[in-house]
Amino acid sequence: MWLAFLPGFLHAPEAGWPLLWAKTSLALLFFGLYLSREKGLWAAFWLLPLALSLGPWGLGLWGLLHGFHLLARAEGAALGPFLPLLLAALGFGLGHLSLPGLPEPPLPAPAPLPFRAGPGEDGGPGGSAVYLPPEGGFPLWVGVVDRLLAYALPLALVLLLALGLLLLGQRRGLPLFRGLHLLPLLLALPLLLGLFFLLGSLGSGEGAGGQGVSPPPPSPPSQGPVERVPGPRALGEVGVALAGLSALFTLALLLALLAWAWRGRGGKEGKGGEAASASPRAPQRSLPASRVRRAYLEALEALRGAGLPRRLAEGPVEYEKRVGATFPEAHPPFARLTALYLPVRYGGRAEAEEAEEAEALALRILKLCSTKGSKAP
Amino acid sequence: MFYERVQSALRGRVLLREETLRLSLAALLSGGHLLLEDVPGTGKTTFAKALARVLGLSFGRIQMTPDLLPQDLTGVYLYREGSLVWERGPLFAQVLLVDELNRATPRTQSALLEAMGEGQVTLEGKTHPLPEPFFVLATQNPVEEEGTFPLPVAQKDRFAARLALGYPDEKALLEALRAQDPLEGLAPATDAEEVLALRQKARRVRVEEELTDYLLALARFLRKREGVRLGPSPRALLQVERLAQALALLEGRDFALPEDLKAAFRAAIPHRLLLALEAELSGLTPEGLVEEALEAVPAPVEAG
Repeated sequence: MWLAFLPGFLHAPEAGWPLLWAKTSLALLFFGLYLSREKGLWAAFWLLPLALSLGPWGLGLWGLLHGFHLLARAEGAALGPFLPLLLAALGFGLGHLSLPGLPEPPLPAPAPLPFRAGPGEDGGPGGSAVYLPPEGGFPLWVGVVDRLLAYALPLALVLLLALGLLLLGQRRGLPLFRGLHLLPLLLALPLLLGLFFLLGSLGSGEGAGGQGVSPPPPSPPSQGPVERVPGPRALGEVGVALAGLSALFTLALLLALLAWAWRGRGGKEGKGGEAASASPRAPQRSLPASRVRRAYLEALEALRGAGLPRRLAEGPVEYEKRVGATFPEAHPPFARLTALYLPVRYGGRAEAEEAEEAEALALRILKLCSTKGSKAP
Repeated sequence: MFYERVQSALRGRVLLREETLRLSLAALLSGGHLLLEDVPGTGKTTFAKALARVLGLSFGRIQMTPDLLPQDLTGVYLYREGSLVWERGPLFAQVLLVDELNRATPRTQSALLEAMGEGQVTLEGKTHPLPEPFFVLATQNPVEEEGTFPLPVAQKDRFAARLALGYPDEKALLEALRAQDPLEGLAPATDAEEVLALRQKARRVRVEEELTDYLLALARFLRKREGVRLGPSPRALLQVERLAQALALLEGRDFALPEDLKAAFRAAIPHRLLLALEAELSGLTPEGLVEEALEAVPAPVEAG
């Protein structure tokens, strides 16, 4: 996952949007890991790196969140409602302590590309070269694309946010929800590819700069004499074009995901009519199906918690019969939930109302199981 | 529903467990044939006759003996009024009861192969199609070994399922003792047309890809299991899938469940397994190995 933000830190520390992208990816990664471990007691620790980066206030907020999390997950936690406040204060206080930290290793400054002497040229020993924009500048489209690239990142983030909101709105979109923290990697890869091409072709991390007016970067004094040579114009254009294409691909991918998630939402809202006559494998049905499966999974987990785990080789009907024999109170809702689950899992169909019912049944089973657990000696 | 109609028609007349009837009908709807293996007197012949009558199908019966010839099954050409006339054998029935199959010689047994596999017989270079649906119920006595010819693996592989009727419970036995003739007044509950339509419908029952993977995993387990000389053949797996589809249809579903596949696997695989001698001597049975596979291979259900 950290491949997504690595180029930001190593290759373009001064660059604005790659670094922002890198940090966003890292933040999303931790947030995704937190969501995937949400049911665990220590899930909030995944957010600790983010809190640390925000200083004392971040640590204080993190302490508050962790406290509420502990309260929600572990009933009867010590100190009760005071726990979040105490943890928040502790975090805030710790943030103000000047702890002896490890010495920060200086990040290596981006070295200018070594000048490779061509045939007939004399590359002096210890000398280096930086590329200048070509005389007469780049064509107009290079500048335009370069400018547009700067807007691609915020646009991609907005789309990503909208996608996340849509998926979160589904509540039970398990497969999509779980993979959310992998999304930045997926999206970063094409961007990275373009970025590498851009940096590699233009030299020393400098963008095309629109019409070639940007000054060359200052070189470190210890590097000896620096020779400024005209940049490889064709490569620079190719680099910008590839970066533009990769950004376009990323945005298109995001838009497609957004459209797919929107259609899923539409499938949930639409009842009867076209929805009923559609194919059972149509994508708009996939979201209710995942909700039913998720509800069944939750019921399985609750029953396992109540001492009735499903055996690996056991089929759903066999398991339902065993639940009926050993836990009769939970049998009616579980039998109904199984009846809803079977056509979804093995028949490839699901309706939104069934998903609602399945979720209600799972909740009922969860309550029955927790009652059984609390009654147990 | 088809199954309920047949079941209620046979209730109180034939000593039969519900599971046996379900699997028998599934074998019929899957286009396969059935091997009934049990001791004498458990109602195998009565069941076959009753089934044919309830299904509204024509019935034929062959009692296998060592001196029976293939043409005794398929029919012979007779010289009548100056020309050769083909006299059809008992094979030309929709439900064919082959009693004590293992008493016939391998030559006669193999005459059944084409009929069961292809639904036709070839005589004097002429192919004669068998009536549809063509369903063979063969019985085998597992106790008396003397004077029998064990069925070759290829012959066993033609049977979609093997079932044992078993002894009925006392209540059912009492009802049977009170009844004078179980077949008297037994009316058809369906007909050949419906059976053929249901066969087509069974083929369209959905079998999720993960269920097919599950079936392959079961077969792989048995093939790799120590002591198994011959595991399930591809034809066997195909028949398991079709049996599972038919079982699902009989329950009114258009999709198969892991439980359908398990029931089909239990019925279709044991008689096809060939064990090593050491395994047999150590007390392993094909049925036990099938149960072991079903207990060991995870079913495709939500991992919870």
